[in-house]
Amino acid sequence: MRNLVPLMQLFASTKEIEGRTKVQKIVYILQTMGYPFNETYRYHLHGPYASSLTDRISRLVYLEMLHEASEDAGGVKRFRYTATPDLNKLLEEFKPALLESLQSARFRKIAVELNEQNSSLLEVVATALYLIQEGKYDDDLDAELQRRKPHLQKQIPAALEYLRELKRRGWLVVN
Amino acid sequence: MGSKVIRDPLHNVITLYSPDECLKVHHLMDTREFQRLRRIRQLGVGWFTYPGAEHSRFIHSLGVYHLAHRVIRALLPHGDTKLQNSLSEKIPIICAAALLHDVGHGPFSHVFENVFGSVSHEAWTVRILESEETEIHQALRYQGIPVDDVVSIIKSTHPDRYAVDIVSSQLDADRMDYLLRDALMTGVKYGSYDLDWLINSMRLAPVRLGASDRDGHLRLCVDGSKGLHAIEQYILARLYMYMQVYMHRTTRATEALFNNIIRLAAELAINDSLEVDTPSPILDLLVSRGEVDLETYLNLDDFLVLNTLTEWSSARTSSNQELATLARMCDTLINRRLPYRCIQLERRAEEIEAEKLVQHLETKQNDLRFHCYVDSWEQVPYKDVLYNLGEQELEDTINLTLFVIDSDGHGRPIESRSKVLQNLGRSEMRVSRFFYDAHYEDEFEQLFKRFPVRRHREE
Repeated sequence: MRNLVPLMQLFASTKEIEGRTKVQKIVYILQTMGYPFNETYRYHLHGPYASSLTDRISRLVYLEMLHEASEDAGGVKRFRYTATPDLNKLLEEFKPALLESLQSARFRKIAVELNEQNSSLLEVVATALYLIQEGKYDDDLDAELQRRKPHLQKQIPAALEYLRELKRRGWLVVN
Repeated sequence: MGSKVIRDPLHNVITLYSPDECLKVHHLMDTREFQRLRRIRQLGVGWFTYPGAEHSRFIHSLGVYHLAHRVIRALLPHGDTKLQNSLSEKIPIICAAALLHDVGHGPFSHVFENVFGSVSHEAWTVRILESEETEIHQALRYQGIPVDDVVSIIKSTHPDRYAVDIVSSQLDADRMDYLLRDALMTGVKYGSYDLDWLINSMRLAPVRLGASDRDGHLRLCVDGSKGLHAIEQYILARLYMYMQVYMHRTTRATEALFNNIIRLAAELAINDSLEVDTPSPILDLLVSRGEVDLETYLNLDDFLVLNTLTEWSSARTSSNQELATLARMCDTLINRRLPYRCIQLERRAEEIEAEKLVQHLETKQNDLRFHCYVDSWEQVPYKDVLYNLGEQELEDTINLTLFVIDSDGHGRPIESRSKVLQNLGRSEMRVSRFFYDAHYEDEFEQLFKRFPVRRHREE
């Protein structure tokens, strides 16, 4: 359970996250900010994706710490994950073992704010962060995003602005 | 240097076809970092269960190189000239990525990654390839193989997706080799599948990734009219290997013991009370909780770890109680006196109790925390099977999908054609176990009264 605790703490803050892609990107952004999530991300169609995170979510659903609901979204199912009362009960029992940084008001604020953004914007933000970490697109980040995310072109300026805003607030320390 | 062959128990003869290729492969093989793979076993502690499974990541890597080459040769005759040229140009980078994909593996498979949650073996691979100090980096540069391209295949970021597919996908040279090799070396014969026919039915075809992707991306596919059953057999083989070999109870119990040894040793090392000879790379690893520098990392292998465990096992009579315990644990591992009892956690409530028990021990800093382990694992045989059947959110996992070519020449997810996989995809295999050391039977029995991990009533 130790490795499930950070994710449980995230859901205790956000209560609910809609969309598997969104969970992936929120955790990626938080991990990049230095929060102690321990997922191994690889680049996939929608940007950084960690199958380890998918497995952890699936285990939390099995343990009934998360409730998984799905709805039709244009021919495919979109999943919604909601923290169950059991999750909060168990976190209460684990209290001494909880990660301090994930208990802070600052973390809650960031997690909630990220969750308020739309999934496409987070996808572009996460992809931009991934490319920045790569360190190869310093001069032409915008062009590389246009190349990789042609279908999300409209989101790119807003995503880059949001990234700058995260840096301005000191939430994100990247070059 | 002329062309050369390498004998291999799985593929029989691995041929390095041209003198140029021979030179390149040998240059990469003869590096210090690649030679280290001889000293890392493919299956971690698997040989405690299957005595024959002593094969190394070195021979596996050569096998992956060989299969990547075979796949490319099978694909070439089916493309137009433009594709043939593009594919031919990429042979050196695809084959180098195949050969080098595992150079970042640490000793005993994933044990240190699991204990410390530190840098993944894949990230180490990238560091080794990118560091100008390594012989592999220098060899790649010398042979004119662009390091960035090789890295981008290993990281799945290369713009030509089919090049990534050959090295890293559901149907890649890596999996194709390790399934057959592990089946051969363990003796688990039903982990086998029809490799030759599968490769023979491979093609490149465009796959559309969503409505906005009009032309599609070229991907590695299987000609459905030929290879559908071969691919079903391959998926089943993988399932059997998981159930029978990778998740074998004895193997997992040994890994659990190994994990606990390293956790306890790390705690002793950090508190400066590991008062027994310990090689410096291992000490650095423990104290830094896995965050060592590249030079230190490259000195770590299975041999060094086993020698260290033998050294630690000599401290059985130490007056330092924790050290004496560590020595006993090492002794049981090395001499395969595996002490762990296993409780199958068949219900959700039992699994939660087991987790609560472990958390309780952690919180109290109780010594028993080094003598138990919750091992939970689930596997859907073909986990992305529900995609495109209208049952799953359009998601990143598209990259993990297998494609068959339809009558219109486009690749589509295999679940649209295979009834077997449609049914398999809906069945989830779950294994959850609680291991504990029989040496502390009475103490755990007391704990089980408070945390009922077995015989729990269905909620």
